[in-house]
Amino acid sequence: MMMKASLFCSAKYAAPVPDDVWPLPGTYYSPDVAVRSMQTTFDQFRLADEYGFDWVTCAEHHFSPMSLTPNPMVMAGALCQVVRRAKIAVLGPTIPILNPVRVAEEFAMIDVMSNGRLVAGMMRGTGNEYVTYNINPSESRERFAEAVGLIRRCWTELEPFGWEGEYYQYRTVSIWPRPVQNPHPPMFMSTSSPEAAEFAARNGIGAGFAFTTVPQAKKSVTHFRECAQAAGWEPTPDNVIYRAAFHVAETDEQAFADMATLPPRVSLTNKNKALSEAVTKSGYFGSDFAGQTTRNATRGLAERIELGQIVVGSPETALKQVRRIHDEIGAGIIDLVVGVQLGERTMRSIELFGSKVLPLMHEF
Amino acid sequence: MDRGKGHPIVYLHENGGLQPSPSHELLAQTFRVITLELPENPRSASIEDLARNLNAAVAALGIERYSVIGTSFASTVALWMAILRPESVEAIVLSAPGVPPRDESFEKCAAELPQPVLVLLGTDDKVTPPECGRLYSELLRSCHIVFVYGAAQAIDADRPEAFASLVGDFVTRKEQFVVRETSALIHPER
Repeated sequence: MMMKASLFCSAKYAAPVPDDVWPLPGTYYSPDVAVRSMQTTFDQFRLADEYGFDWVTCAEHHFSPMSLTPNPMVMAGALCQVVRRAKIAVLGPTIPILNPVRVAEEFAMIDVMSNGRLVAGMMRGTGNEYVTYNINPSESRERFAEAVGLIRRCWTELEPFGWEGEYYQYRTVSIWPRPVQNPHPPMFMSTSSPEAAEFAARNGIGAGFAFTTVPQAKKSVTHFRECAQAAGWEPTPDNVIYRAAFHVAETDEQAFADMATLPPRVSLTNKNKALSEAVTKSGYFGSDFAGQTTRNATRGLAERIELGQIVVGSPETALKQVRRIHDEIGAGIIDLVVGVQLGERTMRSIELFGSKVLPLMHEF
Repeated sequence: MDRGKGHPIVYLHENGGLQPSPSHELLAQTFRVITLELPENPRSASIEDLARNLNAAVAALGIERYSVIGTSFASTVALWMAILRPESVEAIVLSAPGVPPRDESFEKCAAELPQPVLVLLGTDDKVTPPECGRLYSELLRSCHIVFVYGAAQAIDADRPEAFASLVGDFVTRKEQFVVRETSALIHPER
């Protein structure tokens, strides 16, 4: 069983802007910078594809320079032309704030345009996303559960059908195009919380761990595997994704020097105090409130490396860090986020990972 | 039960006897709802004869035109009622229906039914075979499948409001129920 790597480039806005505000006003926005940011993103995805990355990843975030892909389906559509070989992982659309039939249709389009290379993420997103389309975060889990059922039904039901749900109501659905992959593209969701792990296990959905730590993901993945067993299936490493930031340079010293500019990570929700408090009050984080909020805490670089939140170093060092994630969590896919955009050094990081780490990872 | 005023809806229960359901009360706010008790072991009798007797019972109530809901096995009874009195039955609802009988005469008659048929399937139903929707679509001229989220086989008991609203809309507007009529205005009091 080979371990795979995905490159996740969030299409970050490539100019200094305030990093402690959400939403960020448009007064800071320059279209030239945005165009350049998109070109850089395409260059990085293209390079990853050439250097053998197994997947490329895009995701949904709104109203923030952290990511210029509020609709990751649009990015994925473009990637069908930019990335010739790698799978296209949309990890993912923020399901509870979207129209599920539209999500099923867009995913199907991407699967057809890429000839069956789609990996379909089903995410709840971060708390701030609920403000963007004015959805009550306290209903997030119920909306998510229903929408995922509806999306799967859109892909697999051949007769036109209606849907009388609790949050969604349609009288006739019969999507065209339909996915290439049969019965439907592989599905993943974030499974850091116990409730999410239980839902994924019951519904045969792969587990994803993002912005967490190796010790916490280890605990969560154990819960996921136990629930899957109870539901009658045995997840393989291919059913488990772990996301970490990364930067690889020729030497450890160079890589650490490059990463000295990495800002501490502050979640989008925590950039807005009132929002953060209201989301917490809504019960959005579920039963494991402490775990779900501390996994996202702001930490320094050394601690983040130690906790497996970021892979930094020479190819040899990076390989060891990836090996640990593979061994401790049983993850078959590592989703590598470009943590900080460093121009040529980021391009070199992708080349080094692709040429020196990936071939050895493929032998895990 | 014979309650409410308006277009008559005849409700045929599933195996195991007639259970009161909040959905009947909800429908009775707009329709005349008549629940008919079926024999304990109806499979032993001819379904066609049973349908004939039920049509006679409805006629005895002075009802000339009505819609019918058949639940589970009673779906076939509901279809037979329409086959036998096509001029009386306006719309048919099959709730968690079983596989339609492989009977040449039934299939021939069902295929010619002019009435619109609504087939309701619960997303948590572990009893009704999943191919049922397709089988009814192939069998009937005007078949509309709707999945009721979170309902098992007893859809009217599991999601009474959803059941009543869907059935009410279908019985009233027939095939046109696919077009939304309710307003999405946020502050309609303007």
